[in-house]
Parts: sequence; structure tokens; C-alpha cells
Amino acid sequence: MNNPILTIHDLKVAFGPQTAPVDALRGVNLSVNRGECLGLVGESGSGKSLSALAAMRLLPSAARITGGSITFEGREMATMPRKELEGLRGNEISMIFQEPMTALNPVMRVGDQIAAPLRKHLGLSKKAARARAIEQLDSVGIPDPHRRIDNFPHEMSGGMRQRVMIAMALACEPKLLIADEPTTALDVTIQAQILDLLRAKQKELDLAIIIITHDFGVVAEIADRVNVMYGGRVVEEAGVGALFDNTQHPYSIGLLNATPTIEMEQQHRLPAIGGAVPHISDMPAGCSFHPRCPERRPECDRLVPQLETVAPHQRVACWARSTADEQAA
Amino acid sequence: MLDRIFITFAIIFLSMLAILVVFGDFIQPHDPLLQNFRARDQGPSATYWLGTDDFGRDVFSRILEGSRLSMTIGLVAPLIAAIVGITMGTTAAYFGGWTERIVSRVTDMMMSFDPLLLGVLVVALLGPGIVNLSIAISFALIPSFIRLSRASALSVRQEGYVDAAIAMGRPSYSTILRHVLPNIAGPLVVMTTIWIGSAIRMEATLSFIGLGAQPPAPSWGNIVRYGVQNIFGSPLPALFAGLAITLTVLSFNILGDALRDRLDPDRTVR
Amino acid sequence: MNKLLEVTDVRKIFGGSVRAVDGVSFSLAERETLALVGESGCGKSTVSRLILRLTDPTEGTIRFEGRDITHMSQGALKDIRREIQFVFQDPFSSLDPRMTAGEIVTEPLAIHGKVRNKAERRSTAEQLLQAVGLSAKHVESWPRQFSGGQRQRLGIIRAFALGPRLIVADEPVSALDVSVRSQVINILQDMQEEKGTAYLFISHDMATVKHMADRVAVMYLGKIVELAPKASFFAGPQHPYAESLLSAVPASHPNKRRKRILLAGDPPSPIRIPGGCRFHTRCPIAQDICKSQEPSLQLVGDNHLAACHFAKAWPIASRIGELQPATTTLAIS
Repeated sequence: MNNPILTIHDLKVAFGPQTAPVDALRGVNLSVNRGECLGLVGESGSGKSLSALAAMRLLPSAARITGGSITFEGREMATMPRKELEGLRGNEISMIFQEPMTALNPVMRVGDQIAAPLRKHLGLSKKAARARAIEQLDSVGIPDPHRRIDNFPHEMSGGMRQRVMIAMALACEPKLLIADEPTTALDVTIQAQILDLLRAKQKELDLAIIIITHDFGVVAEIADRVNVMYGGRVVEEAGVGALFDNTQHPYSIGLLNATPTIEMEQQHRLPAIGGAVPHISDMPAGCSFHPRCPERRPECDRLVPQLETVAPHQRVACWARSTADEQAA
Repeated sequence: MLDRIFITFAIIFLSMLAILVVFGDFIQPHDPLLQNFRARDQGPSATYWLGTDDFGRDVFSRILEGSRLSMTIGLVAPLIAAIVGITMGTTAAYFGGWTERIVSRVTDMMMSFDPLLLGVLVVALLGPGIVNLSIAISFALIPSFIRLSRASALSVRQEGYVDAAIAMGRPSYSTILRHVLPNIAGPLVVMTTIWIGSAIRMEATLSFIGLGAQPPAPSWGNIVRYGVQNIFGSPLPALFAGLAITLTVLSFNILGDALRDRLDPDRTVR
Repeated sequence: MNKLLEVTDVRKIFGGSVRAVDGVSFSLAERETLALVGESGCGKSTVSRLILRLTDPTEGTIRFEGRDITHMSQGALKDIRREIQFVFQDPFSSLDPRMTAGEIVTEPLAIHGKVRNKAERRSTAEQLLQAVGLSAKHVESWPRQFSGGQRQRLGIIRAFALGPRLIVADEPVSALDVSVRSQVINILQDMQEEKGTAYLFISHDMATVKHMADRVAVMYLGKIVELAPKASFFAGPQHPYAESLLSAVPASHPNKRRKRILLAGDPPSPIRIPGGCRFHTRCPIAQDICKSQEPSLQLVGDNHLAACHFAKAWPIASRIGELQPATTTLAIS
């Protein structure tokens, strides 16, 4: 069961000048196993997208890794030379984004965009790459792929473009797919199609997926395991069942309660988390969640809680759940 | 850092210029029109700080006197152009439809003339003189103001807060004044500043070709004009008047760029 | 029931061929919340703009408190606008960045001459800010100094400032973070209870709709295909599109991953709306009649309207076998 393909250990990422850095990731720990779908849940500023970009070594130019390690199949990525990285990206690790329109080249036919990684990584001929691209389009459920392959991105709908992105990402049969809010910009019926497609591909290719989302519905639909992030750290890590049935971190509990669901009995008021998501330049000390936390303890504003095992395969970073009480004094 | 030095220089220069323009009468060491044939084409001296021209008139006093005319036109013409152009541009953008089509076509027509040529045309029609010169220069600047204000207003028109104002019941003219104008003011102020420099340059150019201020009244343009004619007598009048024009235009451009940086709302966040 | 708003057969055609709203009729009672749901491009936002008279309808009538406001001039509309306010989706673009929070929330009052002087405007602003849980010292703050959730509160309190009878809320919470969304939903509900305002609540999120609405209208390609009281709608939607929309909502728990009615492809373009029933190209139970005859909204239950030739009082999943072999369903275990 424990066969991690990607492990991120104590990853720290900062923005801005060296003299006055703004810490965006403050020690992120997560791992994803072969063939597993990991949900990375959080709100704006939690660091979920940044973690994924760091894992691809695709950080924006203003950000830099200031500590920690990223291990992909035993290889250290945090310090990997660019040449070697380029051999990995699009080949063994791929990524899809929220808005496929910005990730696809608007002046290039989709077929050529899918064929590009095939030719680069697998050294296929132009003809062979085109044939594979058609197969790929077909396999992601695009009708009439022979005709569609010569379309430009703007000639397609949002759902179809996301399928093209997936076809492109999976062209070289990678071992890990990072999906950053892949369905957020899509309508629910299209979202359902894309989630089904991702699930099918996961089984078919024994693909590991990290799906980044703010939506517990997406998590419930597709994830095997979940990491909840807040303020640049992972605050809870659990199997998807445990996360919903045995929620531990007060933030996770708050989020789940605050999300209206369609099965929910009519309630008068939704339970809400007070306050606002802090800006990364203005992160509270200690546990980042403490100003909004209903279970706050005296030590929470001073000491950063670490992930501790509270149940099999479930870890949580919270002083209210910690067994190491003596530390707090 | 370098920017800072330039901006400081521009502000100091323009403040000095403002003082000279306002208090010119008290500062002028000589009567700018007084001819002294015993002191023709002299170099700088304690009496004549920047020398004299071929009529023996004090160059420093003439440049001071000329600055009043150049600066007045330089300020008045862009302001007239701004008022007319911004009104037309924002109205066209806000209301759309035929208003916009007419304004756009007229702008296109005006834009197809070189601003200087347009100025020449107007002066040729109305005759030379300071008022006509101001009209000519503002006429030449109007299309740029229409263009910029229309484009900025069109993008602001799409913003939710404009719809919000309409849905709250705010009348159109009030929506333009309260919501559209403040949000497009930044680029317009920048452009006005830069156009002040251009207007001074255009005044100089038109005066240089004889369509501006008429002698003996000095303006920077005609000082350069007659200075060039007498360049072998003394190059100083043309040189110093040219320097005054260059420094003023440069200062306004630096100021405009600095304002552009300051007024961009995205840069002042936090 | 007292009809506050009555929309009759309204059409909006953009550029001569884009039928964004293609014959929509509904009414809204006082204190009622009607949710207008549908996917992007279905015309729901255009409906909201038509009611706010930000765009003019091509056909049809809009009545507010019995008065025809369809073609009323902007000047004459001023009094009506006091009664119809709005909350927009984007909390960033809906507030003028060059106005302070105090000016923003009192702007409607100033426009309608409800504040006499600066001091009164300021004290009113302070009260309004406090009513939505913001601090009175925020009157001088600029919109950019607020978070998304706080901005949306400013938008909401601005909408309520004049005590309107109807608020058109176009996706008021969909741009907000999850933990903040529930706060804003609660504020919307509290304010409604306190002031007795009616909401036209436009959303694509079924769960929020279920929480907020009294009645639900589902739009597809510019037309309402189902209109029903909430309980009856969520118990059993009658139009196959409405049912597939509901079934596409992600599960609320991993154990509830369920069988879905997956629709094939994307909605057709509003430039080329299919003949007959506009949904027949994607409908899992479409028959020959659906290609030729457009169904009209008809009563299929208590106050429950649906525009489908085969609307019946049982779920579509079981009808698929009855009418036609399943082609597009996908079982998920």
C-alpha cells in the first residue's frame, strides 16, 4: 500500500526579496502513492496550487524553494538540473490547469500540441505522432477525432478543451498527473464528465493523480486520500472515508459543515467559520488557523503543531488533538 | 534611483519656470523689446547674462518674456483639448450607438492629418496670432484625447460598478462624472502632462515657421527662428531658447511618466 | 399570492441571431426566493440584466408591482430602481475602486436623496457596515483593502440600504472561498428575514439553491424547462435536463458516489437552437416527437411545471429502459 511515487518533505517556498521574504509554503509534507488519487483541498492562499507547481518545479519567477525536498521515484527534484527536469515533465509527470484556454497555445492546432510531447519524449515520427494524437483524442472521449485534431482551441467548448489538455498530459503515459482545479471553470454536467474521465484514466494507466480543489464534492467523487491545507501547511491527512466520517482538524470540520450539500436536511442557518482567510503576507504565528478556531488552546498562537497520527492512515496537525501535551508547557 | 534624480530635476526645473513666468516682470534685468545697437551679438556678461541678439536685445529677458507666451499656450491648448476630447470620448463610449459611430469617424478623419499639419491648416484659415495658435494646437490634440478617453471609458463601462450605478438609478451624466471619469483619470492626467510638452514644442514649431507669435513679441519659437537666421552673428539666442524648449518638454515628459507610475491603482495596493 | 414581479414571454436576441433568452415567463411573490439555475450560456444572467433594465428586451413584458417597466425610460425608472436592487457575482468589479466603503454603501441613499448631509451620510454608513459585521472604522477604507467576503458584504448592504422589495442576486457567493461562503449565505438569509425582501437568486450551484430557494426554475438554452416548488423539485425533477443537472452534482460523501445520468457533449450554441424540443440532441429519452414538436410548460404536479413530452411523476432513470435502450448512462459503483 505504501509505495509513494512522489514525496514532498518539509517544503518551504517564499516570495519576494531575500531580505524580507513572504513565506507561502511553511513546511508542506505530503506523498502520493502509485495509482492513487490524492485530493489536495484548501482555500485561496492555502498553498495548494503552489505545492503542485513546486512539485513540477514550475514556480512563478518571484517564488523560490527555501527548504525541504521533493522526491519523485527516488530522484531529488528540488535540486534537479533543468535538462533532467525537462525529461520528466510531460513525460513522467504531467499537469492540467483550471483554464485550459490559457494553457493551450491559441495559434496551434490541437493535434500538433498533443503530438509535441510525443515527438520530444518518445521520438515518434510526425506521422506516427499524429496517429497517436488521434488515438489520444478518441480515448478522452472527443467525438470525431479525425476532424477535431485539426481544430484550434477556440473552436472547441470549455469541456472539450479540458479533454484536449488531458489527452496532451496523458500522451506519454505519465506515472503522475497533477490536476489543478481541473473542473472549477466548468459547468456541473461537464465537471461530472471530466471527473469520470479522470477516474477511468486512473484505472486504465495505473496513474497517480494529485487533484487540487476547494470543493469537497470533487474530493468525495474522486479522491482516495485527502490532504487538507491551510496557511501554507498540511493540517490534516486522511483516507477519504475517514476525512468525512472521522474529521479531526477543526478547520476541516468547519469547512465540511459550512458546505451546503444537496442531501442536507433544511437547516435554518449554515454553520460558518468566523473571520477571513488570512493573506500570505499576514499569517498568524503558531497554528495559522488559531484566530478562527473554536477549539483554540493557549499554546496555539505560539507553537506550530506538527502532523501526528491519530488513527491508522490519518494524521492531523492540531494541539487540541495532540497527545504530546508535555510539549505545550 | 536614476528615476528619482530625473524626477527631482524635472520638478525643480518646472517650479523655477513657474516662478519665472509669474514674476517675470520683476526678474527681467532689461526690457525684452529694448534695442541697443551698440551691444549687438554680445556674449554672456554681467550685464547681459545670456548675451544679446542682433538688435542688441537681452536674450535672458527675451527668453523670460517668451516663456510666458509659450507656457500659456502650452497649458491652455491641452486643457481645451482635454475638456473637449474627454467629453466627446467618454460620451461616445458610454452611450455607444450612433453617437459613438459619429465620434469615431470624426476622430479617424482628424487622426489622418499630422497634428502639425492640422495646426498649420487652422492657422492658415484663421490667420496667425496667439488665440488662433491656441485653437490650432488644441484642435490638433483633440483626437488623441478622444481616442484615449474613449478606449479607457469603454473598458470601465464593462465594470460591474457602472452597471451597479445604473441599476441604483444614477442618471447617465452623473454616472459618467462619478464612476467613469475618476477611473480613467490616471492615464488622462498622464497624457495631458505629456501633451503640455508637445504643445510647447508645437508652438515653437509654428512660431518657427512664422505662423505663431508675431515679432517683435518674443516667444521661444520665434527667438529660435530669428536666432537661426542670424546664427553666424551670434548662435546664443537660438541655442538658449532651444535649450529652454528642450528642458521644458523633457521635464513634462518625466513628470508624466512619474505620474503614470503613481496613478496606476494596481501599484498602490498595500 | 401577491405578484411582485411578473415576467411574460421575454426574449432577448443579441446581434440579430443569438437567442440568449428565448421566451421566458415567471412570476415572483413578495418575500419569496426564486432560484434561477442552469449552466453557463443558458441565459440566466441575461434574465437578471433584463429585470434590472441594464439591457432592453427584444420582446415580452416585465411588470413590477403591476406596472409595466419593460420600456420605461431611465428617468421614469428611478423610482422603480429604489425597489429593485441587486448583488453581483464579482465582488471585485462591482465596487468602484475610487470610492470609500462608506461612500459605496450609502451611494443608493445619496442618489435617491435619502441623506441630507455629509455627517448623516457618514453615520448611516457606519450603521450599515455594522449591520453586516464590519467595523464602523472601515468607512474610510478602500475596496482593495477588503477581502472577497467582506467586499460581498459591502455589496449586500448596499443592496439593502434603500429597503428594496426585490433583490436580484446573480451568483452572489460563487466567487467566494468555501469558509466565507456560508457566512455570506447566512447574511443574505438574515437580511431577507428581517426586511421581507424577495430574491431572484441566480446560481449554478444546486446545493446553495436547495438551501436558499422557495421555488426553482431551471433554464436550458434560453428557456425555462422546469419550474417547481423546492421540495417537489428536489424530490423528483420532471424534465430530463433538470434531473441530469441534479445527478451531476458531486457526491457529498464518498459513500454516496452514485449512478449518474451523463449528458453527452455540450449544450448547442444559442445561435443554432435545435428545432422541436431544444434538449432533444442531448436527451437520454428523446423520441421522434421531440425532434418536431416543442413541448410547452405544463402542470405535472402541484404547482410543478415541466416542458417535456414525457414528464411524468417518476424518475427518468427508470424511464430510460422503458422508452429506449440506455445509451449514455454510466454506472459508478
